[in-house]
Amino acid sequence: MTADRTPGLLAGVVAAAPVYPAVALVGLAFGASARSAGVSVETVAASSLLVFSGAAQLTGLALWMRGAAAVEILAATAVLGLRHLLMAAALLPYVRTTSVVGRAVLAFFLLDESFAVAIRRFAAGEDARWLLVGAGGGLYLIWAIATIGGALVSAQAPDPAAIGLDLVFPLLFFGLTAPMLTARSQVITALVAVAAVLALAPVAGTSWAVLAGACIAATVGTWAGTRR
Amino acid sequence: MALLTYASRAALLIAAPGTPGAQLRRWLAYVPVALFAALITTMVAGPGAPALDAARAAALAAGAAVALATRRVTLTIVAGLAVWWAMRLLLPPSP
Repeated sequence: MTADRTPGLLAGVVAAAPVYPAVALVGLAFGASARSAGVSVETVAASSLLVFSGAAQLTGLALWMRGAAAVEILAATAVLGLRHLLMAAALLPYVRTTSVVGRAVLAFFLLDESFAVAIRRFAAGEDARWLLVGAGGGLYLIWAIATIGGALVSAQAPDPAAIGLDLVFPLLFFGLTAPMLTARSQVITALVAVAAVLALAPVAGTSWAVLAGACIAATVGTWAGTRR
Repeated sequence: MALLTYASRAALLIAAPGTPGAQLRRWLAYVPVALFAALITTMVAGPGAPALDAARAAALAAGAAVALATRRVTLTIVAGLAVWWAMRLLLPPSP
């Protein structure tokens, strides 16, 4: 994992840049909310630096504010992390020659957004390992600064949805998914995933629906791809 | 929480035995599209997602159209946000 380190890292930082403003606002809101709920600045900082998962941290805070038990918070964290198993599985063919330490580093920076920008490059035959680290590292810095800043200032950050910035996340995934829809089987995969999640989410919850829906869709896509 | 989150990211990357077979590699090639479509669906229409009003629907439709036409991420985001802000100016949300 030494080749093209600096250009790869920079490319990753730049590739993830479109989501920085939205991540910063969510981070500010998380830090301020945690502080106003009585969480110390040190705990907010440790949470962001070690957990480094907006979904897990926001859910954990919401559950803690409702008086949930620790085991309930840990269970929610585990379920929210399930989708990373699929991302790691998709990355496996491209990182199998990387050292264990290198894969451990890649795993820390494996987020929805960094995976999204890197997997396209991997699929195109590029070595995108440093790009993944750069994208994840940029998001790590923004998230840490924003959450700790929000906790220190404790001011009410604007709601990203009120100024449309929450739309950045689905729009980013639109932009990253569109170039992958090159074959009929890929379009079928996307449509099946949408239908499966819509059907499963009300009964199974969002995290399980994403995991099961993506597995079902990938299976249908594989089958459709062999019937050309 | 930190250990659980990291374990979900690292378990397969570090502990998976050997190279995936051809059939598994074919399946894995469809995982990104499936996962992205699933995530988009939860962000747009999942439990806890903001209500899909006219401004959000128009912004997402514009973003999807630009994504398919140009395949450029930044243009997709700019187009979607521009449509949302334009819609908010034209049709302010009711109090």
